[in-house]
Amino acid sequence: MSESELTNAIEKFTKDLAGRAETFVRDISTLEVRTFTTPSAQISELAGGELDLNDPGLAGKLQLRAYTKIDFDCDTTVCLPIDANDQIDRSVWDIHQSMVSQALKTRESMLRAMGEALVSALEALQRVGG
Amino acid sequence: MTQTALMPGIRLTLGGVHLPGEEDPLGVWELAGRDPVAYAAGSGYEGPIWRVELPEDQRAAFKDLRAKRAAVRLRERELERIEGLVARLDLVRSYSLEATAHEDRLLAAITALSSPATAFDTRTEERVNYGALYEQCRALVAQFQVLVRPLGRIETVVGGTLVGLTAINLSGDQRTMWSEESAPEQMEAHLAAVRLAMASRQALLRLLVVVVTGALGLAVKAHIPGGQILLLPAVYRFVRDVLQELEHLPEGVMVR
Repeated sequence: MSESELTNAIEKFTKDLAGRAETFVRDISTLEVRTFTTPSAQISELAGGELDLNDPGLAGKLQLRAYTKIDFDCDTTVCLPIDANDQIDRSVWDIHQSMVSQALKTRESMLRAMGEALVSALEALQRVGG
Repeated sequence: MTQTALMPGIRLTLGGVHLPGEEDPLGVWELAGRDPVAYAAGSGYEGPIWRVELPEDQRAAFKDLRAKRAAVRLRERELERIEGLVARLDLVRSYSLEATAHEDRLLAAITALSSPATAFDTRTEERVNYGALYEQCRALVAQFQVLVRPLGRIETVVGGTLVGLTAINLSGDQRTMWSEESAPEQMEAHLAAVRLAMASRQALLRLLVVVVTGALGLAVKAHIPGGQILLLPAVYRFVRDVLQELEHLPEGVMVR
């Protein structure tokens, strides 16, 4: 591998990182958690797929059971799962709430990680400058 | 780094990521490369997949999953100390009695790169094989790219059956698919798997930052043109080796 190829790989990585950071900042304004169920015979088919919700083939296999959207200003949209008797399906709802809690923690720790990365990068750049 | 013992029937694999030596620097996941099951032909998915396989009686496995999460947290805290070690590395003091074997190895790599006479001397064992080094750098950078892909996936298999699957992006958005027949304890097992995978991803991203900024700082100190890139493999190895020492410490011993 030549030096120029390596340089190109680094440039691509840097651009990718910048792109990720931009997407992250855009996406961080909302948090969405979706919980689906699928017939047990079909779930193994999902293991190799892209899990793209716009894929009609995938949509046909999944049933959306619970949905939570939290905006940055804490406006929250919640769709509850109900069972055949129009009662809240506790088992799905409880695990959905746990997933929401986990998602909030993930976002918080990613924000912290991004902040720390920025601080480290700035310190390294200061060393370059100094 | 080898995985510490898990109870029979538990397997933790990270697919889609290749790291030097095919070892997880956190010592938690077994690297599975491009697992043919996970990466079915034409699926188009190229991000990391954390897969947790548990025995039928997965309740007993919770203790192991919690212990692994604690191990990941410990390594993430240790990365802070390692970042300081790299930043304070004294290039002049090289090979002093105070330097550890890992520091000596890193210093040797810096010395080889910063001394053109050594780097290009084909008669010495210390000469730098630039072709191999560029290849190592390229491979490392390519895998760093995989780690920062927006989507990651966590799959939980209990008794050979996939019970839960979560796709999660960097900002925390999640899509979870459950089998209609998943029992509450299987759902709990998947939640524990998601927590472990996310803790691991965060620690790996932290490691990435420590390696990249560490290499940059050392390159500047040692006046190595392009050294921030060429030093990536050496700094990565240093970080991995110091983390590996945690495996040999008795429980409860703190590293200063």
